[in-house]
Formats: sequence, C-alpha cells, structure tokens
Amino acid sequence: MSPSPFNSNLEIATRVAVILAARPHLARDERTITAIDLLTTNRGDYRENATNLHGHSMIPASLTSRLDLIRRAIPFAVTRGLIAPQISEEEAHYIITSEGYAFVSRLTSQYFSSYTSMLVSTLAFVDSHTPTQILNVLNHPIILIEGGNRS
Amino acid sequence: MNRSFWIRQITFTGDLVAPSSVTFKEGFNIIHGPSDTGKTYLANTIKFMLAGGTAPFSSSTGYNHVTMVLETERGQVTLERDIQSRLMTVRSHNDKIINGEFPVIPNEEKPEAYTISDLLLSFLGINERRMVVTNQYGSREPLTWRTFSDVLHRSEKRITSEASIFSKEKYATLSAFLTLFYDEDFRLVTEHADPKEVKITADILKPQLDRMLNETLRKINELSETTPENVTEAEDKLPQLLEQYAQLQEANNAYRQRLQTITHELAEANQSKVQKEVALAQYEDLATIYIGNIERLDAISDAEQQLAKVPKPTHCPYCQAPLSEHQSSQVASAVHHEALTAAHNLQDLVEQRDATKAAIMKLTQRITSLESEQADIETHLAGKLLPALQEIEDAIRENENKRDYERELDFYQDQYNMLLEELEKVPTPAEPSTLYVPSDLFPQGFYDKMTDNLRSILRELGFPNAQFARFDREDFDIRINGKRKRSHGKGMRALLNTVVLLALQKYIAEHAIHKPSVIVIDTPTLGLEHQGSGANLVTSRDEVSGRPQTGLLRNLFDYMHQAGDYGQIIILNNTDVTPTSYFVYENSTELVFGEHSDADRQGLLNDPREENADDDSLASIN
Repeated sequence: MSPSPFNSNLEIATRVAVILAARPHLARDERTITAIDLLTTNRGDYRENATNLHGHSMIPASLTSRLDLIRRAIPFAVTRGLIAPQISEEEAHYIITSEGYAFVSRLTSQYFSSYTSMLVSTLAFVDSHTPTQILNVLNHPIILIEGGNRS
Repeated sequence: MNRSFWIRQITFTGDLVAPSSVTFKEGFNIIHGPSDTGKTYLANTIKFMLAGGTAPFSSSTGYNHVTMVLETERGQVTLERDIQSRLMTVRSHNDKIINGEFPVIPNEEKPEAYTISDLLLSFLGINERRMVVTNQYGSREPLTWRTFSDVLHRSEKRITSEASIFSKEKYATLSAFLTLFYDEDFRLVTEHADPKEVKITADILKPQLDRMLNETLRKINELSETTPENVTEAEDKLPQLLEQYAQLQEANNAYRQRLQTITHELAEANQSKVQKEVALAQYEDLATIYIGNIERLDAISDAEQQLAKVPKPTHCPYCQAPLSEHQSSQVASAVHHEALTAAHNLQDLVEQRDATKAAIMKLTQRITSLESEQADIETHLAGKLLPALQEIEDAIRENENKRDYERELDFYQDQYNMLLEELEKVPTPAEPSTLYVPSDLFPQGFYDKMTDNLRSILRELGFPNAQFARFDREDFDIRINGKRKRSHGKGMRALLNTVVLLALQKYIAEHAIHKPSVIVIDTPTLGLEHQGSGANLVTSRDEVSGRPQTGLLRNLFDYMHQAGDYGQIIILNNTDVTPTSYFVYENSTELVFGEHSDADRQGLLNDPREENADDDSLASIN
C-alpha cells in the first residue's frame, strides 16, 4: 500500500518552497519556516473569523510534530534543487533556488493559491516580530490583528 | 355506770423537760390549787385533744406534746398530738379501732376523711357521719365532737355567761343534742335558701344578666339593621355554586397537569435540539477538513507534476557527493485512493448532516407546537378559567357570609332566650313559710325532766326556792321564780350554769341514746366567794385554811362527788373556794397544786428552768 500523500515529503517540501519563494531574498531557518507554515495552514486557530486551510479540527496542530515534518522534508527539497542551504557556524538557513522559484511559479492548484494568499499576512507578522514572540503566540494561541498587531 | 368513754390519764412531754402526768378516775375528779398553777392549761388540753382548736399552752413552757389515754368499751385508746400539729395519732389494741394519724375534725380539703371526732362519736354509738342543722333554713354541716363540746366543757371564761350553756342561738349545738338524746336524723329537714344569701346572689346576678341581655339585644338589633337581601336564596344557591367551583377547579387542575407535561416535553425537545445543533456544527467542521484534504490532494498532484520538470542536482549541496538517480514519485495512486476515500466520507457526512438538519427542523416544529399549546393554555387559564374561578369564589364567599349572618342572628336570639330564662331563675329573697326551730323538736318530757333535775340538784344544794326553778323552753335555760339568770350576779350565774350542766349530765345519763360522759368545769364557783356567806353559801369555814366547810358550796361539791356516778366530772378550782372534804375514793380523786405541805405537786407542768437546775425535782412528778 502506498504511503499517504498527506504530510508527505513532497507536500511539505512544496510548502517550504512556496514560503521561501514569497520573499526570495531572505534565508530562513527550519524553526521559522515551521512557524510560518503552521500559522498559514491553521490561520483559524489564531485569528477570529478566519478559516483553517486544512479544515477545523477539535485538536489544534502541534508545533513539535510540524517541526518534525519540516525537518524531514527539507533534505527532500534540497536534494530536489528547490531550496539551497546556507551553512554557518550556528545554524543552517535555507533560501529558494531559481529552480525552486520557477517550480513555485508553475503551481496552479486552488490550495497553493489560497496558501500563497494567506502567507502574505503570515509573513507580515513573522518578519516584524522576534522568534521568541512568535513562539509565544504559537504556544498560547491568541487572536491576531491583520498586519501583525495583537489584540 | 353507763359510760361511753372516760379520760384515764393525760401526759405532757417535751424535748428538754421531764414528762408530767395527771391521772383521773372514772367519776369525780377535783384539781384545785392557787392561781397560775396550770389548772386552765389542763382544761384547755382536754378540749384541745377531744375537740381540736388552738394550742392549749405555749411551747415556751418546754412542753409540746400531749398523750391522752381513754378508757372505752373497746379497751384503752391512746391519743397523741403535738400542740402545733393538726393531726392526732391513735393507738389501740382493739381490731375495730383504726390506728394511725388523723385530723381532729373534718376539714375542707378532705371532708370525707376519717377523723378523731368520728372515733370519739363511735364510742357513743354513732358509727356513721351525721349531719346537724346550722340555721333556721335547714343548712347542714357534719356533727363533730366540737359541735357540742363547749356545752360539756365549761371554760373559766364562760362559766359566768348570761346566755344558756346550750348557746341557744347555735342551731348546730341544739341539733347535736337532739342527735345525742334521740338519735334525730336531720336528713329529712327541708333545706331552704338563706334569704340573705339569696339576696346577695340576686344582687350580683341580676345586674350581670341585665347587662348581658342588653348587650345581646344590641347585637340582635345591629344585625337586624344590616340584614342582607335574599338570604334564603343565597343559602339554596350555595350547593350549586360549590359544585360549579369543584368542576372548574377540576378543569383547572387538568390544565395545570397538561402544562406540567408540556413544560417537561419542551425541556426535553430543547435539550435534544441543542445536542443535534452541536453535532451539526461538528459535521460542518469535519466537512472543512474533508474539503481541505481534497484541495491538498489536488495540490500534491500538481506539485508532483511540476517537480518532475525541475532539473535534479547531480551533487549533494551539503557534501558535494554525487547524487544517485531519484526514484520517480509514486504519490499518484495514493492521491487517487485518498481522493476516493475523502469523496465517500464527504458523501456520508452530507447525508448525516441532512438527517440532522431534518431532525432539528422536526424538533423546532415540535417546540413551536408545544410553545403554542402552552401559550394557549395559559391564555385560557388567565383569561377565562381563573377569572371564572375567582367569580365563583366571590359568589361562594358572599353566600357563606349571608348564611353566617343567619347563624349569628340565631345564636344571639338563642342566647337572649337563655339569658331571659336565667334571669327568671334568679331567686327572689323570701322568708320560707316553715323555719327550723330546734327547741321545738325537744319533747315536753325533756323540759320536764330537766326541770326535775334542776329542782332536785338545787334541793341537794340547799338552795332557797328550789321548787320554783324550771328549765324554760324559750330561754333554754334555768329560771328561778320566773327570773332569768341574767338578773343574778356573776357568782350566782356561775353556780346556776354549773347546776344546769349537772342537770344535763343527769339527763344524758338517764335518757340519752348516745351518752357523752365527760364534763369539765373550770372554776364552777367563780366569783361566788365575793358574795360572802349570803344565801347560805358558806355557813362555816375551816379554822386553819379558811376554806368553806359547810353550806351551799360544800353541798355543791358533795353533789358533784355523787354525780360522778352519771359520768366523769373534772373540776378545776381555786383551793381557797374549794370546800374541805375528802374526795379520794375508788372512783374519785383529788389533786392539789401548790407550794404548801398539803399540795400533791407544785403545778401541772414543771418549770424547765428548775428542771435543768435541780434533777431531784423529778421525784415530784407522777
């Protein structure tokens, strides 16, 4: 029996590429990428009157399990030439490759269209707050105001 | 001799004094001495023990207890009493005499209780409680020893009395002697209300009843002025109204029962609706997940296609090692399978959601229907049923008030009639046509015998005009030559009272059915000594003592000595007026108090001070 396509390396690596392609000049570490992905797919958990891209579940998505998925999918994306690592002494950051950027620009499905649309708002928040503040939001879901302000 | 009982001995005791006793004989007993030697204490004690009354002497004498020994046909009987006690103890070896502690005479607390008086009367042959008449209207009280004891026990204070020794005005005393003499039964004497008491009762009752009558009449008039209309009709209508009320109340209860059921059903329907609405919301959430999944599958498929177009790196970006050929993606079939599953799930969900929506709609309709029914019932109750009930309640109350009015009026009219009857019953003070006159009940023979007795005694005394003496029916006393006793001096009255008592003693002994056989006379010649030797009172005196030796006084004492044959006589007298004679025989005795050598003892009671000072004085006791 084939493995489930949900949360497969292909699906997660594609979302990582979409995230990095949104602001192609920025390299992001795996934690930031995970936070951006979680805030985008589960927007309804953190914002009033917003819908979750993956539907509404009684059990909120977990940062830890999402980080595992991202960590597993990043090598997939790197070895497929979608993203490239920038290794420093402290930590690895990742940046979109030109092939990855072209890959993303060719995606036409409704899901990625919606994902890209929600990503704009997520990046506005993430890129204007410290990693600690972002982590605090993820651990204690609150309602976010559009543009990054907190109620 | 014919004696009911006689006093054998009296003993005085106290906690700190030696006992002191006086022993009597069956016939004549003379105790004489100077003043303040206790003679009157002795007379008082006999009265205290037989008839009751106040303490015979003060407890400051050191003595507080008296023991009296009686000789009766049933043997010796001992009576004991503390001078402060209302009770007396009886001791006897005879089975027919109840030993124990009893009151002296009947009291109000226990009028039927056995008393010492009952015991003493039983010695006379009166074995059941008898009644005596106390006034001219026939009122009664129990016969006791006290009823007649004052006649037989003449105290020093009353020996010179102007009135008859029978106390003629005392109906009870004369009634008592009628019982003693002839066993007269007074139960058949008609008892009339005392007009004075009737007047007092009428004076109290009449104004009170008049007041109540006026008040009742005022109430009747007040009610008559406010007579409600159609009282009879109201009373007739009342059962019908009550039935209507019961029917409406039944309907009311049924509606309320239905309301209760509706409320319960509404609560259940609302709860079920809420549960289904929660489920529906959950279905909606689940639908978003299924739709999201389908969109994600489409995106994964799109990504797989586009990834195939991306040129693969030949070397690893991390380690620059050559990369092997990647396996082609195989998500297509998995995507297809997941898509089918999601479609089926979505289909099931839609069906479930539609069924839930239909159920919610049905519940909503049920709730609406129930709420509508509830509103209708409440409208009916509030708008029709409850006002109708209130209306009937008001009508019932009004009818009941009318009916109560009738009853109240009837009550006051009944009360008015009852008060009128009571008023008519209030007796009018009137003197009864026949009055009880006890002296009329004594037969002529009594007066004749008493006259005979008086004359024979006076003759024995050597009294002048003895043949003109008679016992007068009107005075119930002696008259000599038609002259009443009060026309004589104090000393003569004492003598005549003594003679009457001696005549009575003889009559009792010879004619009475019940014979009280103890008489006590304290100072029978009181005041007579001041009359000198007139009327042959004293014809000669003892040369040494100066006491009367011959004369009327001597004759009196000689007669009394002989009269001891009729019953026990106890005489208390002053020595200086007591004739010199020899009184000590088988049935008679003499006891002399005083300091002189001839005296038997110093006095009745020992002085406790002397008692404590000199124990040798005990030798003089008894």
